[in-house]
Amino acid sequence: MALPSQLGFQDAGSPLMEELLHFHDHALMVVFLISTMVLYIIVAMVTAKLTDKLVLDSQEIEIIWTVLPAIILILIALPSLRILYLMDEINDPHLTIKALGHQWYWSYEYTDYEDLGFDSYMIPTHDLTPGQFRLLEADHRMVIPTESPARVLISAEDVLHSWAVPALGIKADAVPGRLNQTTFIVNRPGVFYGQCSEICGANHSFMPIVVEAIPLEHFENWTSLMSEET
Amino acid sequence: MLHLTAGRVGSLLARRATAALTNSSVRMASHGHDVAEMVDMSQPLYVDRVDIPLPDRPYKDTLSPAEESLKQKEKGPWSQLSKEEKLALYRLKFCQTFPEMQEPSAEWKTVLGGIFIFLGLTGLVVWWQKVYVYPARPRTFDDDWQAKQKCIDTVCHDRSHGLWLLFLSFSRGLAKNNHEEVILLYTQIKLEVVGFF
Repeated sequence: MALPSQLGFQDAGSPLMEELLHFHDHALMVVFLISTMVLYIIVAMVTAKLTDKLVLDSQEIEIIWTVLPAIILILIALPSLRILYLMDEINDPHLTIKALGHQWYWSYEYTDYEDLGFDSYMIPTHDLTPGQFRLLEADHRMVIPTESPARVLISAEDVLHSWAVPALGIKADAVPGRLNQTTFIVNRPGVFYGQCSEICGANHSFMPIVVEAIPLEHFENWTSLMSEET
Repeated sequence: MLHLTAGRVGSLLARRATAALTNSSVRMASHGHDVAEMVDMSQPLYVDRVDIPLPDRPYKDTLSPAEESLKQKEKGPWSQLSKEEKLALYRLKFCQTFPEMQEPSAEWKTVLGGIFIFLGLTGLVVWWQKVYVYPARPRTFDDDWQAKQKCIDTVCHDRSHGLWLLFLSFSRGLAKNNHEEVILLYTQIKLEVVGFF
């Protein structure tokens, strides 16, 4: 989850998010370098004592400030396209889960081996136990085994929603009548929080997504437990 | 029926000619409006600017007889000019010297003062909002609640708060990964600190 007044990304929980973090570092460094250079030039121009009013043209600098930006753009585009294609690689998921958006909760269906489905409502603030996160905790978490490629099929039952988990680098719109697919692998055990990312009515801010990644042996225990419960 | 007689046409044309030949500011001024001073940009201008070191014309165009004779003296060897004469010649040609042009003004004080005034007004508005508008803070912001928020290997509450906690736990000799002890320690310290305040 995000810490209070956090500015940067959350720690990555999946390899794709790690790639995105590194790419963002690279692109942001380019941005900082360019901004620093521009700021320096502005200050130099404003504080200059003398003005040359007779400058007409300069071929050399025109060439530089056309070629250099083109090179910089290529240096940004290459890693970006690499990640774009990485996202679309064939990865043969071990598990398929359906995440359906409703007003105003998510429901998850694990139907690979047996019929398991449950709703995930936000825990209201007055029902939280001390130490839980306000507006982020849900009564039933979507549980995933670690280090297993998982596929999530996302749709909605009424209006547009969006299923997002920033720590895993996932966001996909939940469109009624449409199935959107996203695949991911969770590197490490942990709890990853996200929030609905498409305006869907009064309680749009109050339908969080909680993904809990646990080792595979414990995952089987969980599925048995959940099946008994529902 | 209105007949455009020769006399009427004549007076109409005369009015059009007057309007065309005088400029609008002269007409406005003569009808009681305040009009800014007009500068004739087609003539050489004198300006005091750092990037125009030699203006198009000298500062003083019309010279008194004394000044005329000084100008004649200038045509001879300059070593025969006294210091005062050289200064007088400079002031004939130019209005201000470079240091006079570049003199800093006290404008920054006005600007800074205005900024602080508006910041102060904003502060008043913010304080009023805090007292009269905002609802109560949720209990999840309380220190003991935040102390119980557990994250593996990270401190979940405010980074500066967490750093302070870590420092305290180090200074009192506790392992930093031991969350339960840190929570206990924190509650203990909080009581001490609250006592202090």
